[in-house]
Amino acid sequence: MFADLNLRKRWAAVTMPLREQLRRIPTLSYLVGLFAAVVLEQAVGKDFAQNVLDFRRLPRFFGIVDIFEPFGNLDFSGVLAPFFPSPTGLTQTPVQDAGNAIGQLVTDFVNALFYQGPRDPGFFSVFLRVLVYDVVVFVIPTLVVALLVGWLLTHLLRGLPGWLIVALNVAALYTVVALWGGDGGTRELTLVYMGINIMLAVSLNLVNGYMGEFSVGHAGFMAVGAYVSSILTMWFFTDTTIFEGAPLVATDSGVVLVVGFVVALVAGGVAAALAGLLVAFPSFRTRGDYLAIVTLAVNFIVQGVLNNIEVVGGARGLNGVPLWSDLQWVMILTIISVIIIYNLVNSTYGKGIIAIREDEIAADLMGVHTRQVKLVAFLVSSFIAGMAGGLFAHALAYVNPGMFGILKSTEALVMVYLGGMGSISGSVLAAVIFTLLVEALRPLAILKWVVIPLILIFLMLFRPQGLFGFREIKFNLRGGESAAAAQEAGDGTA
Amino acid sequence: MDATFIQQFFNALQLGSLYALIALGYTMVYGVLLLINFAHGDIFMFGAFMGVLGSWVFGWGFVPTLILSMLATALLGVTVERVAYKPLRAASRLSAVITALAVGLLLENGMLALTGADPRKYPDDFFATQVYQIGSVSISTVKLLVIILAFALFVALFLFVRRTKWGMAMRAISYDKFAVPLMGVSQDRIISLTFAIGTGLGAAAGILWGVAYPASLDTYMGMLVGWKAFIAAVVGGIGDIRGAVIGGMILGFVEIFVPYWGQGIGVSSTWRDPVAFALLLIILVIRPTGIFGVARRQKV
Repeated sequence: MFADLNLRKRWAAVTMPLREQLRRIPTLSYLVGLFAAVVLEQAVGKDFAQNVLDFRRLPRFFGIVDIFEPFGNLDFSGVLAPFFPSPTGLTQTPVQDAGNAIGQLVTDFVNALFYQGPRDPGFFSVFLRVLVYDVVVFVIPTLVVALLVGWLLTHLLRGLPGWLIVALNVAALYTVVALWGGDGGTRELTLVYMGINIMLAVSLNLVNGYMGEFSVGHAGFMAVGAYVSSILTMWFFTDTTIFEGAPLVATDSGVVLVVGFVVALVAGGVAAALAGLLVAFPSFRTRGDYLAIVTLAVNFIVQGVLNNIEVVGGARGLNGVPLWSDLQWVMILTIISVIIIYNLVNSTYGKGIIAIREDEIAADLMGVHTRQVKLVAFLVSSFIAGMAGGLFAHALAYVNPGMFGILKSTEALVMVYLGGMGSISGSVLAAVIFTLLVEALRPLAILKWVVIPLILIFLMLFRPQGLFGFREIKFNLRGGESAAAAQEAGDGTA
Repeated sequence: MDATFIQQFFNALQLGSLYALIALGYTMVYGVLLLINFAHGDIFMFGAFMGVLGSWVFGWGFVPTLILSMLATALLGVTVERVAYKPLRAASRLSAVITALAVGLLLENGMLALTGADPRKYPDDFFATQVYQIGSVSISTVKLLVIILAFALFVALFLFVRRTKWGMAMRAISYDKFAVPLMGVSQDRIISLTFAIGTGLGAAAGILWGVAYPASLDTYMGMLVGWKAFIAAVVGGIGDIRGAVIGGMILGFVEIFVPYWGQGIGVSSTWRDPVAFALLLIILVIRPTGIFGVARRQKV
């Protein structure tokens, strides 16, 4: 026990200078380090994974998609099925059957942990090899390069204006992600979902976190945006049987297509914002749980109406939406959305939004034009949700009303509360974690939706304010002293 | 009044009673804890599934199965409250709501994972249906059972809340939850009781729903029904028992009569849901706290 404590202390003491150093280097150097790691992975990653670590292919998404795969063929359904039988599945010996099912399950589980066959080595083996792969290919190169360039960057960044440093960081992030994820395959698709989820979480956080309302129908706005933009792009640019066959604008010109997509996405956002008025106007009189119902009802109404419009396919949905949402589009729009929300809530005007959360009547008395502020918040929030919907439709090449139900709204809520209400970086991080979690747990099929709620319940029980509460993640943009220390010194303007 | 109208009237009464029974679960919990128990729709599902256990595995008749289901589901409801909601009473209300959403997802998907997706229904002799002919109107015993049992439960609940000491304690907690423990009444016990009654009524609704609509028994049955009943509770004025009954009835009647009258003017029956929700939206805009709800005055 004591020896253990001593070891930990000694470890802390030994690594102290290193950790201090890592804290002092600017954020940009980590991005440069990541860039080096990504280049390294592209050069030797595949050889290393297949020849040294005996993977069948490159580990997917840092290996997180691979580690839960051994559990994919666990079947829990025999455990309670004998007690809740269908007329055909009736059994005379339910207890015995359930016992057998549990026994089988335990065997399967042990096999999944350790060994399933010569080519399926089980969870522990995969987990260890993924760990080795990530540390060797990503963690060590990133840290080494970051330390190497850290000193240099600290000097280079000195004296640059804050906005330029932020821009440099964003550009570096963009480059790294585009280089690592632009494979046109599952990596890219996962990153596209991630960006869309970030947009959803951040825009919902504006209403639920900063304004303190409880909107539970965010997917409704997403649906409006998805449908309007899909209809526009299909009508104008594709050969479809739904809208009179031939495209209205027959062109191969890239510029026209880009402008067309932007216009379609913005139109989707505007339409979603108009739908947002359905919530904004009732919010003048209705508050709290009653407003939650209004948003819920709007979600159901949007879904129901789309189900009933035959031109857009009714419940079958729209097929043949052009596949235009690639990583670049999603990243650019995600970054723009985050910047818009960040600047809005940190502006003087945005203080009005927060004032409404704290006390609406007091805010009104202090001269906040509460109705106008609410209107703006709902419009901005639903506009971004609509854009996210448009991107979503053009990433899947298909939309139907069933995609935009309460489950989708719940996902958005989960991301906001996971990250913490009133924390934009929290929402972004939560959207990243949530997307990765969904991907990692995909092999578990239905169990995925057992594990995710369990995680959420435990999170709420032990950290009800979410991961970040009302705080933001601090970045050490300039390097040198840590950001917190710099702020204490009265220098924290970045 | 022609025969189909009367028939539809009874259909609406049946559907409305079921919504109202579920809405009562939302409204009672809300009245005491100010918590929207989003897991309630899935608790309703659990009640219906306990009916499968009682009827097929134990081979019991309707009444014992109903009692088993209500008791088992009440136990589940109390457990959920103790494990998941009680630790969050001091936290912000929204984290409790998110927990409730998660509990709901856990129940419906956990049930699916543990029992499989085979279609289920109650045995044919579970509730022997007879059809009475009155003139040209035919009414089945199932419909009468649902309506009469639901109304019996409403009256019993209303009397319980108005006339007994336990009911008085419940009303007292929703009125001032800090003063009640000072009067020597255990807050925890009253909250558990509220959950037991609310979820028990949900279980009754689940069994009746399975009898009335035999094709609907699956683990996701509580999702849409639960949300609709919740909206019904809010339209009636959440926290008020009469409100839940009236709200459920309004929803039932709208859902039955929109397609019925819609036929004549060429509106297909699939417009039922959007029209119902739009109507509820309008009611909420006109009366922001629901029909029986009282606006909480905010002191400045």
